[in-house]
Amino acid sequence: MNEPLIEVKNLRVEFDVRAGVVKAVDGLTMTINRGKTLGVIGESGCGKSVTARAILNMIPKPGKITNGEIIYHRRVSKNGHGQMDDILDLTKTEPDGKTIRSIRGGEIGMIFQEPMSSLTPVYTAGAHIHEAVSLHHLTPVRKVGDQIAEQVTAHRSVTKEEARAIAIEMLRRVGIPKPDQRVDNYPHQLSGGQRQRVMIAVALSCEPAMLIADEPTTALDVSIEAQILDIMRELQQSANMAIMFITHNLGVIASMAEEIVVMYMGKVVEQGKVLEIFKDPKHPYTQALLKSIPQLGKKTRGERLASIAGMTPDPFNLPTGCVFHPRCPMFMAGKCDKITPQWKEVSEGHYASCLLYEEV
Amino acid sequence: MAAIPQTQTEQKQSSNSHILEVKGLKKYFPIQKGLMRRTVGYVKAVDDVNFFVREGETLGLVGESGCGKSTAGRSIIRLYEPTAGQVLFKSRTLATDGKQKLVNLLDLKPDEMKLVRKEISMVFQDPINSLNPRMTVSDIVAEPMTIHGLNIGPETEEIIIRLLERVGLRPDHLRRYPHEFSGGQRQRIGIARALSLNPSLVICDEPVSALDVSIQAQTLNLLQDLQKDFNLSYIFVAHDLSVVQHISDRVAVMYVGKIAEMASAEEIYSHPLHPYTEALLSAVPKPDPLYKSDRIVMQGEIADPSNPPSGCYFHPRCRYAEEVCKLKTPEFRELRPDHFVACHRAEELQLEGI
Repeated sequence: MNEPLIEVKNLRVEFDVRAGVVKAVDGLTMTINRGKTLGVIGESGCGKSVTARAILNMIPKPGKITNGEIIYHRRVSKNGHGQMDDILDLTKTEPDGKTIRSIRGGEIGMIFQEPMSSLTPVYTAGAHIHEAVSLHHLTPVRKVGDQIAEQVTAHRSVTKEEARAIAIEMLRRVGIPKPDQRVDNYPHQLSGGQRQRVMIAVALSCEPAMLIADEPTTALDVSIEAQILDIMRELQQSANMAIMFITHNLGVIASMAEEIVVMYMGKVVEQGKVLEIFKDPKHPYTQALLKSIPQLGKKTRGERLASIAGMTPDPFNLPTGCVFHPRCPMFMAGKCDKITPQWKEVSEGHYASCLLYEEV
Repeated sequence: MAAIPQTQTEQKQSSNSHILEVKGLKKYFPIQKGLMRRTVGYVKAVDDVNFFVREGETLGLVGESGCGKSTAGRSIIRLYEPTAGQVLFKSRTLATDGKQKLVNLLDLKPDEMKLVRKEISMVFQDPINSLNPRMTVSDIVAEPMTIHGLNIGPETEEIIIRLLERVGLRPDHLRRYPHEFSGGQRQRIGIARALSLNPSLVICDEPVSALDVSIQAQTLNLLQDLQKDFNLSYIFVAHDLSVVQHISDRVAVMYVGKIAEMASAEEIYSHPLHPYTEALLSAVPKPDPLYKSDRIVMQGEIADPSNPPSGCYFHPRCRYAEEVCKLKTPEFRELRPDHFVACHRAEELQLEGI
């Protein structure tokens, strides 16, 4: 049973810079379901991270959302008994407003790629988690939203000691040894893997409904990476958390996601179940991407890797027709450079936008 | 000291085919404390490392971050001055008879070392920080030639243009600055610079880990092509096991300053002899959704190189550890032909590869 949590519809994000307008995300539609993992793959600059930021309504200037909506099915308690979904368009929220700030980090947690720069160097590891807890467990908005029954808890502010206890408990859960000592450490005193685990602890300390993980393990070693993926899976099961997992590591995505979205130059080119995408990729870009990784255990020594010809196009000057056509091995002259492919269901639950699957 | 055991015949063979042989290499960084900068201890970043590189081959050096693989690479060309050991290198420039001469790089005087640096070059990980933003591509690629007094006017530019074309850049890129290029192109500039003095050994320190998958594939292909064309030997330092498997003839696995295992790429991935290699291989996420992994969980953290555990450094995390592992440092020995391992229990253990 799939219960939608976030529905992105026809999203467009543009950056108006001096040299012109860049469409970082162009007509993106996707759904993230409760308790499920959606993998987003693509090369740098394809709009993966901008999409994640759009969901949190924190597009950096001069970027802005120019079209589309992001529907968030927000779960709120009603009169103390039962829960109901409140439907909220995140693109309509005030970027600095209370609503989105209570969602950001509270209901939707996030982990960024670079552990060193996403932690403030002058805070101890404990203070980071403490900060997230006191910001999001205790927002006034939550108190308003929670009615009579929850009023007691909502009004009870977490004291410093309690926040510290939560921080230690979270550090223990993400597998940091001696959490009661580590809680007083500053980020530079931790290793890269530990820092990333602190970030995960921060993101998960408020038990979010969704976690946005933007290349969370890219900078880490395989052994630590495996540990962190385990922690994420475990927390997903125990808290029914949805994960939007952004990465370019196809090995990680294969083991984490149920469904995959493949992005190229701001557009989704293919979407489907993880098995379908890996076993029977439809879009030439996905096919090329899968072929370009050296596979462990396969004897490829001495062979050349299949690489995608050329470079990603200039974002100010996108190719006509299908944006992938200048690099596509299946390029059909007179078609691909003229006609923009439509989003089409090629088999059940498996979508692609490529003229190979259209009659033109 | 655990040296690579060699018989008489192997020694003969080695002098023929090994371009580089590292024996007992150590690099200790002092830990200094207090006003007087008193040395209170050492970080044993590289601790008694032995390996060799054959001519025209690629040796992959893998391990987790902090295991000393980059330090080992840099100690070879004395970017870090090694604490002890020998680095035997077959040099052309120092040979008097026009052929090759085996020299210990650590014994060389500065002017001799400078000559040898023409033969050993480096490609760095970060293509943004390893290029000077205020120099043009032409200046960057020509810099090694300038340093060695080989920049002799108009012909140099021709050489540079040929190099740029060889690595897949265009001659009109010559006057541009690094910021005008993408990550993959910048790495190509770095490669062109490394090749400008016609080296025989290139130390690649994580050359593709900052690149996207498709660009990574292009760069790996380029490195392989260049190896064939210029008969280069590579030391390929990386943490990505699948990339290392693809590019390497032989692989050395490092753990806390020591080499745990060294063998041909095929052998080490299919029949690992060291429990650390086994655990590392099992942790790699496979790009196959049907693959159910039996991941071996390594307990705890990677050991602290300033305060390593007793005996075998891996024993606190090893699921096969026994009493002897806590007491004795295992010897780095050739257990099977061309397969070296440092583990007490290597003979009896049946380990899983991929």
